Amino acid sequence: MTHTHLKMIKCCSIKNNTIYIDHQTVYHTTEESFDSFIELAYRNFKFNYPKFFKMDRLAKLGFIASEFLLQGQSLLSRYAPDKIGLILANQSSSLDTDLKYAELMHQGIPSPATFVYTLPNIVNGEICIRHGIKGENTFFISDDFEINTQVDYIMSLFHEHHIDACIGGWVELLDNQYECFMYLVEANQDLTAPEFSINNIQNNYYKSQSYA
Amino acid sequence: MTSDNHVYIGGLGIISAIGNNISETIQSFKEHRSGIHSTTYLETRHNHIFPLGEVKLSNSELAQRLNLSPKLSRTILLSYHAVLETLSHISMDKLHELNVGFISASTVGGMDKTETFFESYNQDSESGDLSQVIHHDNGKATDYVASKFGIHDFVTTLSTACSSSANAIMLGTRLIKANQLDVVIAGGVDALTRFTLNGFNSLMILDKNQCKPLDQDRQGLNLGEGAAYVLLLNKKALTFLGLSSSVVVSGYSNSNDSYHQTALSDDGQGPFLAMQGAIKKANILPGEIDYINMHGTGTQNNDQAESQAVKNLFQDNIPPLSSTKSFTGHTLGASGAVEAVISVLAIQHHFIPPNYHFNSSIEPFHISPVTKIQENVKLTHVLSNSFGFGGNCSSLIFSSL
Amino acid sequence: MHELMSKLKQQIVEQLNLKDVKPEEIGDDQPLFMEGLGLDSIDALELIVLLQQQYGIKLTRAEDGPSVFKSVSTMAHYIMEHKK
Repeated sequence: MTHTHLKMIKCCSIKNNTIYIDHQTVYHTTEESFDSFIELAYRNFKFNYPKFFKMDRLAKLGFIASEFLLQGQSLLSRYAPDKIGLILANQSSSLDTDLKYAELMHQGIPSPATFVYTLPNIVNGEICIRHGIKGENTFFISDDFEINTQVDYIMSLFHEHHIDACIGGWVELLDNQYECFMYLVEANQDLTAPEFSINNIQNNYYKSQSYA
Repeated sequence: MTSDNHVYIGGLGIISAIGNNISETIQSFKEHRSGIHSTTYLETRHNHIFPLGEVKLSNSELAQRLNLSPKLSRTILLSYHAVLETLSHISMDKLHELNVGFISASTVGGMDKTETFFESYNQDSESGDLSQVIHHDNGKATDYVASKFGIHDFVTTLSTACSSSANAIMLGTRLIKANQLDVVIAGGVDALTRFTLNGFNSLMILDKNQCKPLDQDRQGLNLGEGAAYVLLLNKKALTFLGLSSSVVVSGYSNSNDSYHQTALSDDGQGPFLAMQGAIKKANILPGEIDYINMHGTGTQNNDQAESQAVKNLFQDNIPPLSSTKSFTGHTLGASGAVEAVISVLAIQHHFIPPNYHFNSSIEPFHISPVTKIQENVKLTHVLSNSFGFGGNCSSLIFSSL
Repeated sequence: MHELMSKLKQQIVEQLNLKDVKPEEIGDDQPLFMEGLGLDSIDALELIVLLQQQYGIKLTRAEDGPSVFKSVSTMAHYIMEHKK
C-alpha cells in the first residue's frame, strides 16, 4: 500500500462558536462561552450520548468534532476496530481541568470525576469508547500544531499496516481559548479526494485558521 | 544501504525509588530491597498513610549533583539525571554529528512547582512566586533537557498516562526504522506531587500498605516517581559512536481498550491486542517470550484484566513473569521506560526480577509470579506491558540478537 | 425520609452531571447502577464524595459502595443510620 493511496476524506474544525465540515459552516451560535456553545451544539444535533455531560471541556470539544467527522462514514462497518487509529495533539495538555482539580483539591473536595480528566489522552479514550475504536492511539504535546510530525507518524502507521483508517488532529482548549481541527484519513478511497500529505493538511489547517 | 535495520539499545539511564542509577537498581533486585516507604520528601497531609516509591534525593540534593538550579521542577531534575546517565559513555561531539531526537513523556509536567505556587496564590492573589510556574507546561521539561544536551533535530513530548514512555520508545524506534533519525533518546519522567496523590486517593485505588501486584489479596497501588531513558540507535550510529550492543527493540504495539476512562475491560481486550501486536511485530511466537514484565499495578481491575489477557494469549504456556512496581511503585508517565530499562538490564545481566512479595494467585488464573530473583538465566525475548488511563495499552519487546 | 430522598435525588443529579435527568424522575428504589440510571465506577466514587461533603459520612471501603448506593432508598437509610 503506497502513500499515494492515502486520502484526507473529511475535516472538521471548531472555533469561535462555529463548527465547520470541510470548511462549510454547519453550526454557529452567538453564545459567549464555550460551555454554552458546545452544549447547544450537542443538543441541536441530538447526539444522544448522556456521558457527554460528564466529560471535561477538552473531551467535549474533541468528542463533538469526532461526532461530526465520523457521521455518515460507517467506519466501524468498513474497518476492523483495531485497525482504526487516533492521533491527536495540543499545546495545553489537560491544563484546563488540572486547574479545576487543583481548585477542588485545595477546597478539600478532590473530585474523582474531575481527576479522571487530568490527562489529555482521555479525549482519545472517550472517542474510542463511543465508537468502539481499538487501534493505535497517542497524544502529543507541542507549542504549535506540528503537522509534519503528525502526518509522518500516521503515514508510518499505514505503511507498517498497523491501521487502515486514522483520525488525526489538534484539540486545544484552555479557559475560553479553544480550537479544534480534526481530519479523517483512509487508504484506497475515492481518487478525487485530496491526497493525505503534509502540504494538504497544512493547507486545510491554515484555511481553518483564517475563518473570521 | 545496510541490510541491518535493527534498532539497537546502546545506553540506559534510570533513577527511581530503588536506585539513582543502573548499578543501584540491579543491586536492589539482588538484595530484594523495595524502595516503597513512608513519605520522606513529599509534604502532604497523607503523610504516613500511603507508602510511596520516592527517589531518595531531595530537590536540592538533585540540583547540587547536577549543577542545576534547585528552583527547577523535580520533573526536570529527574529527567536530566537519567539522560545524563544514558549519555555518560557517549562522545557528545560525535553525537551531534548525527541526526538525534529526544522523545520524553510525562503526565505531571511541572505540577510539583505549580501546586506550591497555587497554595500561596489561592490564599492571596498577590502572593506566590511566578517563577515557579514557568516550567508548568508538560513540554517544557522535555525542551529544557533537550536544549541542555544540544539536541535539536527532533524533540517532542507525549502524554498518554501510564503508557506514555512506552509510546515514546515505540515512536523513537519507528523514527529510526524509517531513517528519519540515527539516534533517539526515548523515555519519560514523573515526579510525585500532592495533586497526583490526592487524585489517586479520590479514585480509591491506593494501598495503605506495600502493594501486592498479581496477588488475590491485592488492595491497590503505591505511587512512585522516577525517570528512565533508552538510547536507541541504528547500526550506522552504533558503529560511528564506537558502541557495541546485542539488544534490540524487536516488537511494539499500541491499542485502545475502548471500555472506560480509567478501568480496563473484564476480558482485557486492549492488553491482549497490545501484547499480540508486539509479538507479531517481533515475528516470534508467544512461546518464545522468556519473561513478561507485567504492568501489574496491584489494583483489582488492572491485575485481573491483564491476567485474563495473558491467559488468553499464552494459554497453558505462561512464561515467568513479575511486576517490578512492588519495588519501584507505579511511576506513572515514567513507568513504561523504567520497566523497559529493567527489562533490558534483565537481558544484559541475565536475571529475572521478582515480585517483592506474593501470597496467593488471582482466581481463576492461578498465575504465580517469580518471587525471588533468578540469576544466570539467558533471556532472548522480554515483553514489557504498560497500560494507561484512557484505554491506552502498549507492549514492547526487547530481544537479544 | 421522603424529604431526604427528594434532596438526595437533587444532589445526585447535580453531583454527577446528569443533565437530562429530572430528580423527580428517579424512582426511590430504582437501581442506580447498571441497567437503572446507568452510573459507573467513577460515579460511585463521586457519591462517596457527596456523602462526605453533604452529610459528613465517610465511606472508607469501596466494596461497601454497591450495597449503600444500590438505590436512593438504600442511600437514605444509610445516611439516617450514620449521620453525625
